[in-house]
Amino acid sequence: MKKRWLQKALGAALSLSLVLAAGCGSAGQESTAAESAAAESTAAESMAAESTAAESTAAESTAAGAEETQYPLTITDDLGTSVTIEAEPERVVSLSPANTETLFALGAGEMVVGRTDYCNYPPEAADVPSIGTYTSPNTELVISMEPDVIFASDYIDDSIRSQVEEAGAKVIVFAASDLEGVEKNIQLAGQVLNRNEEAAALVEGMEAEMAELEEILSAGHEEKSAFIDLGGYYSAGPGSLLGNMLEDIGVRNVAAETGEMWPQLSVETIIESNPDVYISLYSTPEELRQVAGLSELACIQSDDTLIFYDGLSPEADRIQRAGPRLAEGTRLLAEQVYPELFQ
Amino acid sequence: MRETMLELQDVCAGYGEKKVLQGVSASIGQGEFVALIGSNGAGKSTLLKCVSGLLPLTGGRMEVCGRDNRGLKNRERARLVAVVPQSYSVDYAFTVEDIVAMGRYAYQSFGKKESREDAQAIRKAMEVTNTLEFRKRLYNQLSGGERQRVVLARALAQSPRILLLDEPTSALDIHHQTEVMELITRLNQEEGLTVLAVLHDVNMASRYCGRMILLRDGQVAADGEPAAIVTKKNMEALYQMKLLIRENPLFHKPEMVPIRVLRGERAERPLRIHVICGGDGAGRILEELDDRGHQLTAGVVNQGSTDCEICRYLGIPHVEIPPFTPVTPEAQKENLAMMADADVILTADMPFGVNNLANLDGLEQVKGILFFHKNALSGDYTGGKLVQRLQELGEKKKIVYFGDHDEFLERLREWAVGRKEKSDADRNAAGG
Amino acid sequence: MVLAIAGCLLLVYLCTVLGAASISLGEVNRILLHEIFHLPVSLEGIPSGSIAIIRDVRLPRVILGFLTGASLAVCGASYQGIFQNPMADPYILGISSGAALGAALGIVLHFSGGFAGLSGTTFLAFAGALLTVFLVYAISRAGRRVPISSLLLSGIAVNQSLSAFLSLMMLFNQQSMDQILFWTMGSLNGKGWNQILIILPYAAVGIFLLLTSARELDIMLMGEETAVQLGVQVERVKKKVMVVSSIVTAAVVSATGIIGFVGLLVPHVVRLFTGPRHRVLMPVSLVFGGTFLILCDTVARSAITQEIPVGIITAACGGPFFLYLLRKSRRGGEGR
Repeated sequence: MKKRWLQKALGAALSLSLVLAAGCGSAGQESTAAESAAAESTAAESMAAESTAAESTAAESTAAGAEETQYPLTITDDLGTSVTIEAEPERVVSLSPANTETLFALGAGEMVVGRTDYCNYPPEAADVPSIGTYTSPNTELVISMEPDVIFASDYIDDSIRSQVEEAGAKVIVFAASDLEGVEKNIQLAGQVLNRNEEAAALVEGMEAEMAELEEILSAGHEEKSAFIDLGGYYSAGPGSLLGNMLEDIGVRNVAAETGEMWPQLSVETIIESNPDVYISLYSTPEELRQVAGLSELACIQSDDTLIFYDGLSPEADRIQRAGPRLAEGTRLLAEQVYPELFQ
Repeated sequence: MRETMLELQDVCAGYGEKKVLQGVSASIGQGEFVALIGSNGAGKSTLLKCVSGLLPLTGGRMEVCGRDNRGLKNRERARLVAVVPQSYSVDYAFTVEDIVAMGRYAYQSFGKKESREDAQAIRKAMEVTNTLEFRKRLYNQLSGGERQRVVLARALAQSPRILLLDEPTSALDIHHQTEVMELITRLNQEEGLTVLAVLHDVNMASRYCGRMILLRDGQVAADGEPAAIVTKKNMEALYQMKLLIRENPLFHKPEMVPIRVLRGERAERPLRIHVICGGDGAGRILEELDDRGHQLTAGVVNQGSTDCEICRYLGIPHVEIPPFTPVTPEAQKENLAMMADADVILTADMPFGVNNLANLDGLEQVKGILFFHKNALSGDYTGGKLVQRLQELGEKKKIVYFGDHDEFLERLREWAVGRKEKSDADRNAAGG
Repeated sequence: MVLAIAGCLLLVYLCTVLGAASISLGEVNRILLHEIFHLPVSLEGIPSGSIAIIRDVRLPRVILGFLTGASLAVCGASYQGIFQNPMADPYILGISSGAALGAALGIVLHFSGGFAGLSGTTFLAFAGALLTVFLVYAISRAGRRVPISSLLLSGIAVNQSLSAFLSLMMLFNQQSMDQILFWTMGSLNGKGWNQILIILPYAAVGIFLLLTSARELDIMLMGEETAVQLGVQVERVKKKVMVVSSIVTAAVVSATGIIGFVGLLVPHVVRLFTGPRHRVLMPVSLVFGGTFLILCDTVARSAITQEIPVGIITAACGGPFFLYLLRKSRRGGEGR
């Protein structure tokens, strides 16, 4: 946690100095770095400035639309790190299934030279050699693929990160926890890879899907509640991807009360909350129905309201991956909770 | 014929590859108090382990109370044989009573309460060992002697027929050593308990035990009454040192007096030394001169004095007279004869009175140099005759006075060196 | 004894009243009277959810807590006895890592079959625990004897290697990593009558058998040689205590996950008050261990809106409490 914060602060300082440098005209990279060290003391204040800077970059790129990306390009990722891309990347490695989906959706599948063991979508991704798992990728393998850019998740270890960076790769971390963040990252990826047009189209499609969903949901209905069981009664609370999705489609999240992002709930709390829908991503319906007390709940007894997506099923991927299929996933959730609206 | 409690026939045992017992045979009868002695590694403790069922035999046969020890269950054996180890500490806060009550385990089973017999046995064991008054105290807060009595009480609570002791007193001071040995002796005599004890204090074994078994290299080297075991030959072989055996005058048991392991430096040229002594002050110098290889004679000593005893132990030729009798002219004649060839005559630390002043008679005639301990002057009971005599003597021969043991040895060395140089010079002169 | 039982029942009642879901005292009483004692009390006006919570969740969870705590404490006391080692606990022979590995296998393979309401994970954890103990036992056996020191050492070694296997398994199955991790933290959440049914027979028979060995365990503390000389069949007692404790612990661990500290600390705390005699130590540990775990689990499920794994609570409460007692008794000068 502390490290993350530090990273953010340092990143902010760096980005601030870059913004200043840009204002002064065409200052060289070296002098900018020197200034960044001097600017460190103002790191805290610069936090705010950094976020607006990032937003403006994103907005700019949207406005730019189909324009060609101008290199060198400086972007700020989800950890607040400023990354400068010197030239159009030719080889990229993805360190998360969601990033792989994004890259392929942008039509940049050809550029992907490495992926994780879990990248199973789109099916073509399987042809790309794997570099291990997303928490502990094989650093040597990653470096041997000579990527220009690595799209990582926030699982990436600081030491691995610095090693691959030393080898010349730029690391961009995507860790969005809502649809907006995902769309922003898709645009950012498009910008980095000079696939601005594709990114704009992709986001447009997602927006359209969400608009359609919103219209369906606006038909008027009673608010329903749901409990997401990630296994062992651990759930997704406010601030998590799933929690935000439930919020987006107007479902009351039983786990929201805890205020925690990944809380474990007592069975009796679940029973007391008596959710309308129970979404299990781990335990099978048979297992859940054998849990004393829980089995009394109406939502557990009916197959319509006890929804089970096995951890590796396409449905589970759709609702858990912060990638281009998230709009589909959101719709899937809405269909499960409010089936009557979709008939 | 009394009942045989422990029968050992060619008992062999060891630890893994290492053979310790190599054919031990012995038969111990009811009511005997037997000491096992022997050097470290001779197999004493190993033998006890075999009897108490901790170590299986690799050969031979062992019967406990007429039953093959191999076939006995631990519980059955515990009713026949109890063990008192060297000493041990317990990390847990058991009371004395808890510990003693454990002795009854072999008579109890789950679900049954402590029987009246158990309670009686526990109480009696604590009474006999004088542990009753602190039965509520914690074992690990007791002193070493108290602990050993508690462990003895636990062994007695087993109501055993044979008591095995493994150096039961080695961790105790003399007071508690004696106390524990007296307790065991009493149990042996009054209760008829058969006792087999590993003891490394031979004198204690000799004093308390009716029989001793000497083990050497895993075999019985000697077996019998203390007088037959505690002999100079056995003990010197056992301890590999200079020692003397005497009868303890209080208990009339043989007693070993250890003397020395490391030998002093040997004199370059052994001297003939005659020591005039007779009280109790010459023991140390006699032993030391003897050890250095000098040829000693002594006289005139009164029978019953320590000096006399020591002359006998060390085998020093000496003239002796009955106690409390004056030195007769005959005795002094004998004395002078012994001095005749002596290089050195030493008058040791001894009080002179009218009875023994005759020791100095006729010394003018012998050639040896006279060394005289100054203490004799302060212990002068002759009314000035001693000083007078010494003056007379001093006019005729050289007298070297010295103050203590070390000074004497130093003076003797100086004199010997001087004499050697002189004789060398004489020889050179003669040769030249 | 009667007092202790009455106290326990009172505690069970109080902890059943307390919980995350707010159900009034009157309602709890009515539900208990109707559902447990089958008295003609009207349940009108009580939501069916509340009935389910009390009858199927809270009450069995409290009972399971007692059973788990009691079993672990008695097994811990027995292990400390036969190993003559104050650091011994029910997991010392590698049961915990064996069970964890079994459970991890169950989680990764995700057996949903199960039997009598128990998941495949539970069965695999139980099997893993027992296999591990047999492995440790077989490794350290020297002829007919099983020396304590080699048991402890091979216990540690097997523990370490199984932990490594577990880490490896987590590495290769990252989607199950969280589940495996949560399992190892130990929890009574979602567990009830089914788990009681698996633990109860083992715990009842096992604890009884261990209690019958109280005298032998006392004597074992004098050292093995002395125990033999006092008539104890040392190897048999060791085998019996080890087999029984292992089975009981395996049953508990497979049902609840790894709950630490109870088996280690409870016997120590109790010993400070009762002294080391197992005839007193074990029954008191049983009662104290049971109540201690009930209390910890009550905190675990109702302190905040989310669940806290009870293993964390036992460690967090138990450690400092024990240190406090230890210091106090040291200052008292008792050489305990």
